[in-house]
Amino acid sequence: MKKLIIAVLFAISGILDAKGQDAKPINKPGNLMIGITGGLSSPSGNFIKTDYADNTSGFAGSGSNIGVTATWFIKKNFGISALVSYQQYSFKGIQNMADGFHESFDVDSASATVKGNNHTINILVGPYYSLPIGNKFSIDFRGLVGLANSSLAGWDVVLTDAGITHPPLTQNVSSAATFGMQFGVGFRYKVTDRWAVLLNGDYFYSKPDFTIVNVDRNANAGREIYSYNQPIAGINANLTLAYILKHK
Amino acid sequence: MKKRNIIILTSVFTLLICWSACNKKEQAVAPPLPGNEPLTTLVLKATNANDATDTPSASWIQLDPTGTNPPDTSHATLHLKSGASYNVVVQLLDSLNDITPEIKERENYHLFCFDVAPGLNLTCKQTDLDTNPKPLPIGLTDLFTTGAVSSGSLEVTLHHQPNVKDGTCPPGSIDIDATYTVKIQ
Repeated sequence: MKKLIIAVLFAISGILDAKGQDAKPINKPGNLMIGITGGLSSPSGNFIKTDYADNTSGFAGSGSNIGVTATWFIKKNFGISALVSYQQYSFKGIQNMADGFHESFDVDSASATVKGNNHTINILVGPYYSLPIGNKFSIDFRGLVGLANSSLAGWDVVLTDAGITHPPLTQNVSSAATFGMQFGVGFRYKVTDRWAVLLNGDYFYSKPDFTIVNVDRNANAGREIYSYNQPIAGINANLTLAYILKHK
Repeated sequence: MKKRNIIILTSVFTLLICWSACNKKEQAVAPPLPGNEPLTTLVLKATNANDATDTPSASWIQLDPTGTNPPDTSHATLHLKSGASYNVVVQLLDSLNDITPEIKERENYHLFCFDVAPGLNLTCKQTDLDTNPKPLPIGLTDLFTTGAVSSGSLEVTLHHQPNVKDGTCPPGSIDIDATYTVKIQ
């Protein structure tokens, strides 16, 4: 079975190689490809848990990302790529938060409001490899590492009991910078000699260590965390519009 | 040329749609839940610190949750000896259960207060502490110290102080308000 799989892989790579040689080069050394990219971000793991009683819960939902990318082709199919992007995730489970405080303080009602949002600003660089298929398409691979500066949303909870509305309990918005990485594959279609579109799928990962400030927490009751150190990881599904600056 | 423009415009439009889709304010409210059993009974169980056989107790009972009918105070008189100290345990019940353990679980935002009528020679002090960052009294266990022979009323209130407990009685609301007669002999 292993031999069969290896044989098939060799056959596919041979076909791709042959097609690549037949096609007009989609890439050229010295070309610079600049793109605007954006799409959906789908985080996973503890970051998307919404369990009020679990301190690893990040209450993040799916979101979106937008960025600017540039790739300089050093060789025909190999280049260096950079990406500056902004990823934002929705806050999921705010009702759980309200219900949790309602129960924790045994009050008539609890109202929870999100402060800020969950987001990450990435500045990443790394290698880029493009595998041409015909003269219009290529499969592009990239692996990027760099800085990820993340922000964790906060919230206000207002407790009301026996007609008395108490001052809000607050978890402040917090931020932390750390190492980040992103790697994935893109399918590039050359619209003209200058313009191209790409469909990208990328895995992203960072693990920021947030220090959390709580305000007006007089009682030792209800969800109260002082730090959050869970991976922010998941998949980006993007569309990129790229412009190629040709090297003369 | 036309095809190129369509692709480019579609790409930009798609990017904008994706981006704008996720920006909205999040808020939720947990509304009141019906059907919490009202507190009906507050029991004071005292034990003389120097005489274990001296164990007076008193019960205040209000079975009408609306408070329209007066409470049953037929067992709400506490007989104490003068010049003595009593360790007091407070017990709370609803119509079905002893809910004292629940109050203990929620000690960080509950406080029993004792209001002694003028002329009654009694001092009351909570002896238990909660687990707040700065521990504060609860009042499920107390020390009653009596003086000279006297009698009068003792009002016991359970204060519900969600995130506003500061060791004093005023913040929050009152879960139960019971008045006893205390006779020091």
